[in-house]
Amino acid sequence: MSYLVLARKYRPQTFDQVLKQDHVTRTLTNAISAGRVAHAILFSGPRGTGKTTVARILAKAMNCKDGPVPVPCNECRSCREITAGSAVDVFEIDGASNNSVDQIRELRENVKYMPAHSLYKIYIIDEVHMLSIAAFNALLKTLEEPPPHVMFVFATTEPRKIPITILSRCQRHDFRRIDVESISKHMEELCAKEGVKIAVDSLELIAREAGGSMRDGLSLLDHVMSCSQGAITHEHVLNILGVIDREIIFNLSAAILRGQIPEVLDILDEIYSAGHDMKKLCADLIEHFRNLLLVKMVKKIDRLVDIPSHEIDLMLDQVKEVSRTFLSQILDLLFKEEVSILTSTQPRLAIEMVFIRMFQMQPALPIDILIEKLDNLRKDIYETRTDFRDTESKPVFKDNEEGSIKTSGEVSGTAESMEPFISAPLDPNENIDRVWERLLSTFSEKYPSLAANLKNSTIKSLSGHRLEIEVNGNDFNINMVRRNKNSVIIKKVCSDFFGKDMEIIIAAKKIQNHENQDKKDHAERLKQEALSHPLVTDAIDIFNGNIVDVKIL
Amino acid sequence: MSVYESTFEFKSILGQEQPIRLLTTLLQNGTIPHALLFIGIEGVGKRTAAMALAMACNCKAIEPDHFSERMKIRSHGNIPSDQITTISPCGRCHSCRRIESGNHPDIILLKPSGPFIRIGQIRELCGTLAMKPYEARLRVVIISDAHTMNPSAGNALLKVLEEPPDRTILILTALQTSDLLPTIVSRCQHIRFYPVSRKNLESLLIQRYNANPDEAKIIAILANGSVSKAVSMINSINRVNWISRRIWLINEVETLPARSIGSRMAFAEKLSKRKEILAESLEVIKFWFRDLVVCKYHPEKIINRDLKDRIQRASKKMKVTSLISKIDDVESAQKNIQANTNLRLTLEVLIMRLAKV
Repeated sequence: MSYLVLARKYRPQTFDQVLKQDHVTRTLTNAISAGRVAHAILFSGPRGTGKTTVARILAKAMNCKDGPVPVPCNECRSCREITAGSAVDVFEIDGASNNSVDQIRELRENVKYMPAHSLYKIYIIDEVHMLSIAAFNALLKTLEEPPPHVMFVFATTEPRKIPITILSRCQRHDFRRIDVESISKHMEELCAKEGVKIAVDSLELIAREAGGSMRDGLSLLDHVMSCSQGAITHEHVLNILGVIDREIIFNLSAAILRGQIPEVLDILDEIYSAGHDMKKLCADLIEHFRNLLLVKMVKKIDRLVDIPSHEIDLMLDQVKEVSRTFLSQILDLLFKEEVSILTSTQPRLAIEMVFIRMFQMQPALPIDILIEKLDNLRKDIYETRTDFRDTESKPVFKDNEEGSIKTSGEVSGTAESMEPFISAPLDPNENIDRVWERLLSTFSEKYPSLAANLKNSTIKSLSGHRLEIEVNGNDFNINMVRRNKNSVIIKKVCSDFFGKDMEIIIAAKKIQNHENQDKKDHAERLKQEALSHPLVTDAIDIFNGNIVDVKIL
Repeated sequence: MSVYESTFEFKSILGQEQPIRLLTTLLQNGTIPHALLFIGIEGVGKRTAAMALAMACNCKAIEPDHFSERMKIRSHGNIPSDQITTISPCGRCHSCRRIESGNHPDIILLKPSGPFIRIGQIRELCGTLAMKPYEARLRVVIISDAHTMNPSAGNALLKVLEEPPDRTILILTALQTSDLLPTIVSRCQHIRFYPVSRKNLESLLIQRYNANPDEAKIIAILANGSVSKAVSMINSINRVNWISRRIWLINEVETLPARSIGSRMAFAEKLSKRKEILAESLEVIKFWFRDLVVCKYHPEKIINRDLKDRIQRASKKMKVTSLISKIDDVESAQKNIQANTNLRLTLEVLIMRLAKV
């Protein structure tokens, strides 16, 4: 007997040995004890989660010598034969190599014969998604109403490739990925059985590499166990698995975030000469930056990120200084360049260029910060303008902001043009309306929204340090003007405008409402008059009409 | 490959100490899994290693109960280190000789027929495997370039790969796991082969092929870790003098912007005439630009070390963004040439792009 790998040696033989697929195994055991087992069952799920295993256990349970039992005895003739793969009544068919319609026709021919010595004749078709369309269709009638002694069990990794007509005839059970913790725990038990000592850390690493598949995990474990002489150290495991050490990935991301290209190139060189797959590196990096981004964004990290807590701390430390947008920028670039790395003749060169491109990229700013900066810029302009007016000798503009120079240049221009006027603000000859017009135009230059609200207003009185503004308009306008912020602005602008401190009184125009009321009443009256006019009433009577609308001309 | 493989021996495989060590450990422990997957770039000795493993498993000079003894030791505990001896096929016995000449009935080598490994080949294999091996202690099926299996062929292999018959192992070789069906990958134990280091390649070329040291250096760079590529470069019939060729290419590329359209076109024409070495020539150009970029950040990491001063001078004149876009241009030209576009036209476009400052 040649060497049996762990995955085959420790293939579960009863339902309760199957790991983490309770939702399937419990349903099946209940169905068996209640005698309600479907005649066609489909198992689907990712690789290495136990589909074929469960199919075999089900076959054993159905054909066990005491009739269908939830727990197969694994001792009777039928059970032993199924375990050995030599049972006459259980046909394990490889759907991928027997995928043509002829083979299905042959199967249909044989279905009608009774089982040799068991209760049921069970057809297990593995990799069923590879059957041809014709083969599937040839199976339809048999699958819908098979003879009472026949059961079909299908197993596949790709249920979406199966025609809907087949799916609707089967009872479907979906297998789930197995979480890292259960895999590593299971491997720990197996190691104990095999008498091999491996650190829990290494087992977790293997489990993480397995990607939710028990068979992958066990293959890797087997590999580690059979390749090592003497004690199995963590470095040894890393080396055998070809896993790029987390530490290297962390160093790489740290160097990227700090923007140290030489270090990045060094690390890449190291990874390449260790024979690691550059595509794998790219995938790892994408996952790492995804984790970094999540760590930065989310509070409850442990639910979304499947990593130990000390690594989360390390990540938090790394992303402290970095903006979220920069991280997602890097992630974007990696995603975009992943294709070019996959197709490149020189993956190493391609990945180097990705990083250099990354350093060419300027960190983008999040929108809220941009808006804040814009606001600050505006404030700056405003402040520089007042500075200019207060102390005329001060240098007005900062050199570094080109945009601001231009805008504030315009502002200062208007300020200068106002100069002669300000010198005689209370020219008795000056019409009050004219003054208001000019004041309004200064408002509309700097505070367009406030100016819009003030548009219908008039100056009620202007005397010395008192300016009474009457706001004309609806409640919204009045409230806007009366807001604290806006009244401060008005005061400031007016003070600048008149060249002295002004006391601003804002009054709302109340008459307007009465006017409206009057208008309404008047219209109502006219309407009533029109309706009660004898000519109108007669016309309605004669033509048997009705009044649609009354318009006032 | 056959050019340099005179014998299938583990020690004839260059620069793969670790995978070889893993394989011999497997042999010693007697724990050879039923499915192995050899991963590594082209021409680093994957198939040679597979053949050597097949020979070692069946070599008459190695005692058949050697394995079971080892198994016993293993079940008792760890093997004391002084007992570890490297197992290597003798290469002289009947079995070894027949495997080497490809006449052994139980060593099956499956190669792509045309661009793919087809489902027919896999079905035939399954039929053969249903029978017992003729004489071998361990029947070995080697599927080389397993990534060329089309999906239906891959799926047809799954059942056999998971639970092959007694006394049978399967060895798959592939460039990368990502090229294979995940269901296949999960059924195999992986053994990685590394790109051969430049130094190793250089010494191989100098020692075994009497190459000129300068040329060996350049070929070692161009071969990019692949022994078979390096050997084919040095063995090709109309052998190119890579020293002068590289200098010529770099000179041409560097002076492109300053030259007339006519002479740029002439350069494209010259490139397209040497079709057999075009791929390498483009790689030389790409590495030149890569060095110019890298030199800005980390002068130690450049590949054309002998031209360091020149690279530094040239690097100062160019902007990183334009260099990167030039590398992109070369890459896209390479892709287009692979996709069978008009060679001359593609090269002309490339040269015009490279000429832009």
